[in-house]
Amino acid sequence: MSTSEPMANKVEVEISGLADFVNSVVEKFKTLQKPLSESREKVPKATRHIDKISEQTEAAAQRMLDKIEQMTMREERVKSRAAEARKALEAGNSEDATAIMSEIASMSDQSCSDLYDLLDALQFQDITSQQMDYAATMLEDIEEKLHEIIEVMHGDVSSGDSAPVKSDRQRVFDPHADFVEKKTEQDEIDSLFADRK
Amino acid sequence: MAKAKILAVDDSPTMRRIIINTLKRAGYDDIVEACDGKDALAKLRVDDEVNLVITDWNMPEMDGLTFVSTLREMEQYKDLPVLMVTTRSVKEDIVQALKAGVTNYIVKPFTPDTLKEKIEQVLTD
Repeated sequence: MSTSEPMANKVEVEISGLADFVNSVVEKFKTLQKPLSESREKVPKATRHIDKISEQTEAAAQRMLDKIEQMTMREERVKSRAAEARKALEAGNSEDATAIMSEIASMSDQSCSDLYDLLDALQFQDITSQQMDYAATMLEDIEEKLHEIIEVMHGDVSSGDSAPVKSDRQRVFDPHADFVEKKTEQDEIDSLFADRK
Repeated sequence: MAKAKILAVDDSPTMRRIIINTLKRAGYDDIVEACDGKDALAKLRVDDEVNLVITDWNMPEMDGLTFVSTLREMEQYKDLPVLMVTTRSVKEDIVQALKAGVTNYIVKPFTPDTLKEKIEQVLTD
């Protein structure tokens, strides 16, 4: 037997081992594909959602500010007319005073209505809360996927410190919750329920 | 004639306050609150004189759909009017609610006039 045969066997074993190692690395990279792809989809989706939350809270805040400004301007007018009513009464002109008081009462009704509109506008809090829960859930999913990737790259990661920590709060939300757009209008809902009868 | 007693079910305290305020403006003073379906069932066990339920859909512990389905399986509540007030506006969801036994349905954000109108409709039907 030539001396090159044991050497050739040794080289063969080494190359075989190397091939096995390369295959295992390729397999590991294949398992990374799914979590990477999912994370790649979810990051822009979460970002878009957060932008939407920002836009909708801005819109709700603007609506409320509009009402507040209207009410403030009206209050100035009420004060001015109240002073005029007082002058009219002092001058014994009860007819004018009565007319002014009616106007003040009407402005007061309008302000009351505006206050109720402000209250109703606060519904945005419930809607944006659901939108935020949806975005938070997506981010938690991304964090989990990244943890899976780290586990694959580094082998066993059993340390509790590196494991993703999910919120204790149960997240319940409508992923389509929207302050502005409704997918089905009230008329169509009414038809669905009317057809049931 | 006494106004109806209403059970308002929503996990958002802000939304419960808004609904209750709207009900009071519409003349309904007899109101019970619950924070989810499970709490609502507990409240009904204690007080069975409720004439109308207004419920959200997405709630922890027990969601609105499960709550309504559970109500419909209970003999004393199978005909209790239920108004669902929710952000869910997809047609498939509305049909699902209808099949679960919801009497009528409003999508948030609602106007006080719509809520008042639907309450009157379900109470007179």
